[in-house]
Amino acid sequence: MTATITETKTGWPDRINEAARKLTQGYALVVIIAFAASLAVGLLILAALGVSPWQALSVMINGAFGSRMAIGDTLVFMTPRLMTALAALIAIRCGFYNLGAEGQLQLGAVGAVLPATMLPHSLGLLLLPISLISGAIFGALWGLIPAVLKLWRGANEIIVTLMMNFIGIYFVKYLVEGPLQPAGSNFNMSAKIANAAQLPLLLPGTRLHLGAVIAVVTAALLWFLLYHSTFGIRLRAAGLSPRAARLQGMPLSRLILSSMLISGAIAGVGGAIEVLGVQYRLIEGFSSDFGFDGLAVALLGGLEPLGAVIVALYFGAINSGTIALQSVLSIPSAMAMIMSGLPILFLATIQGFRLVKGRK
Amino acid sequence: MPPDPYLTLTAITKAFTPGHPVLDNVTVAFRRGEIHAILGENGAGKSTLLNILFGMYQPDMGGILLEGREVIHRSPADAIANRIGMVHQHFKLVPTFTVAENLRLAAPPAIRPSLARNADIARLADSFGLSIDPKAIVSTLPLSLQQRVEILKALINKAELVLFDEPTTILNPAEIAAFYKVLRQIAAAGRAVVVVTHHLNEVVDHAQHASVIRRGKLISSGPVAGRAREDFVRDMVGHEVDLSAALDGTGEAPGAVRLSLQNVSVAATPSSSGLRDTSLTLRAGEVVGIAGVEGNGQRELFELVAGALTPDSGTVEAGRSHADGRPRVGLVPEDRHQEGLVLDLPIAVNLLLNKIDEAPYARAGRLNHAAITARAEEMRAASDVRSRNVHVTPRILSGGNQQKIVLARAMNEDADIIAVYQPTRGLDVAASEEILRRLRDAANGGRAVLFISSNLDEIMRISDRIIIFYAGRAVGEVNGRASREEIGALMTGGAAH
Repeated sequence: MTATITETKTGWPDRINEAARKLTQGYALVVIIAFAASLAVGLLILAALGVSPWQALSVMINGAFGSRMAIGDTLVFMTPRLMTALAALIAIRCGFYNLGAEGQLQLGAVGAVLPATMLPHSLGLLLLPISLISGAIFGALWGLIPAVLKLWRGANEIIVTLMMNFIGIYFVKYLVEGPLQPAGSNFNMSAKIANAAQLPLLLPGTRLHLGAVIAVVTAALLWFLLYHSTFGIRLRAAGLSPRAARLQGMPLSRLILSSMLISGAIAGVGGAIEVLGVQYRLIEGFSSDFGFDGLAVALLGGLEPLGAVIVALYFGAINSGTIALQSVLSIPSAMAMIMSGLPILFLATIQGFRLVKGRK
Repeated sequence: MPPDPYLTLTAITKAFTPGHPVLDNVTVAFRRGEIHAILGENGAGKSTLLNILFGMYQPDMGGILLEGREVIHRSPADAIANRIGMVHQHFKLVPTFTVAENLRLAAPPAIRPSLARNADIARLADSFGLSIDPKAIVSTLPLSLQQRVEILKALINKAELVLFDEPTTILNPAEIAAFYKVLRQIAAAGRAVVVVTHHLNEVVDHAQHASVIRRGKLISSGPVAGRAREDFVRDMVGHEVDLSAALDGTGEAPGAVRLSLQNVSVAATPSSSGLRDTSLTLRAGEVVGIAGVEGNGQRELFELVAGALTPDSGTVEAGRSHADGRPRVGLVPEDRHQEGLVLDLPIAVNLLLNKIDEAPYARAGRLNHAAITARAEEMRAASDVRSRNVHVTPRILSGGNQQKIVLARAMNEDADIIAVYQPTRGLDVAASEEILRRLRDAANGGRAVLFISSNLDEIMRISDRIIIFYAGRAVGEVNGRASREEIGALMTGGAAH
């Protein structure tokens, strides 16, 4: 305990101020460098595959932003990753390492598909909000379990949330192979949802739906919550320094439970959006690792809502860009995974160097 | 005629920003067989001097003479090759490795074969008088033993000059005594020992030679013998400070009871005795010092008063309480970095952490940043917290400035009681004096101050009453003028009833 009582040496506060400011505020620059470097390496890999990097780049940019349809796709691909990123970051900012956005997203999809396929069509436009809210509740309750286990029995949340992802994934598989599979169908998917439960499309001729707006608005709300509400400042204090927060009377357990309810609800809505806006059914494997991508997006975005929006947009663009690469230049879609993985490697490397230098 | 110096730093000047030298023309000489203390307030430049000697920084001007010939240390490797060892304030050990593995890792290739067996290492350690279990995992060792491993690393590298940067900050009084015994052995074997510190008592008790640096300039350098504590303080601070003068109360009788603990008990833990059926009252206008060897119930006492712990039996009653039942108390916790501050939130939030959800700082759950900033700037000015503004984080501030934030928040609590736990730990003389002065003023202004500390000098200076804790009980109470011997006897249970 005594080890923590050490002096920060600041005979020259300005100098150290400066150094600390550089170290923290340089983060945006570091991320930009990481992305630029990973784009460059990605193009080099393409060059090694015998594709002209410039041609590949132009195909990708075209595929991501070149037309109304391309932009729509990019935003559709951005949406689930942004939702899971926001889910991860609100929990992590409270000091709770929620790696379970994937599972909460799966449960959210279940929560949405139940009312959207089973409630009477006569409910009309009410079906959509009911399905979204149901998705949020399913996700929130799934997220509450690891929080309760942690507070009640001290169970390590990293392990619990990670493992619950697989329970969620296989639960969906079970549902679409069994109870939710329409009679006579051989496909691992549920029945189609009611038309009234579908998220409205925003741009004619594109796949862009209201879900993208929901995601961006959620990011804005989360930013407001973190920086302009008493709940947010208490949540951040508890996450950064639980012992100090506790001595000032902050209810740590309640903060963790609330942050996990919010986290699970956001991921759950993310899953609901996939069902109500993209697939119109619950399908086995509908999530291509959105939960895990979201964690990467949250960390690359510096655990800031705005950062998450920007990085999620990049991930969405890579997704639609590499699909174009595949259809135009027949480059395997695994390229997308490489392009999303590289920034993390670069970021970790650059941050590592900065830490080593910063310690000197 | 003293022997020729083993190593001399000559006319060292170093500036990190042009025009603001951290060190200005400093010359000091280190001799074999001597413990040489380098004294100075935080930020005086003493650690920079050490780092230059160890090759981590290059001086702008001046150089290093090793037995009369000039050497250049471009990196710590050069310094180690020149038989200089350094024990850093923050240990450079691999925590998951054993003692033996850490030592082999640090040893040069030529020496490594001689450390092949754990028995070799144990024997070597014994030969230096630094017995240690080579098989122990470093992270499981107490800090005093981890420090021993660091010292062994230096000695195995055949260091002739061993540098210590603030070595005693992490040690308790018994460990400090043992530490200096080791240093005396190292020096007696003909090595030169340099200790950077701001703890005066250690210098007076253990060092043969002392150099005082203030704001980058060498103020004095000479034998310790014949110099008094006060001389060093004057050199360090720049003006007279009487470190033994009592901080006086108003002379009036204490007022109403503000805090009352009745027969409280808290279960013991491996590191603490807990509390056993202890009672205590605190009145308006008085400072009550809690003296005792660490681990005799002080932490539990503080947590009870803070409302962070509920007693197994007994009652804690304060004049005023929070809505959730916690006593309303201004708190200065023991661990400034983990309990006192949220180091990565702005100073403004830290200053108002206890009130952040109250009007005018929050309305209907929404933060009022303008009100927070305005009040925080006011508090910062009143408490003389030296920072650019209230939007930077306290992480970058000195310990003294950090503690001013914690104290300002405690004073700003709507409470009649202030409870402090090791309020000056790690602070230099000037910062400590300021904290003590403010606490005394708070009591003189009518508040009740509970002063828990392991620094008996401090307790004796500020307290109106001193209660001695031993094995989880208040075993005695003396008035503020009691003798050190009387208190010391009670602290070790000598006069327990």
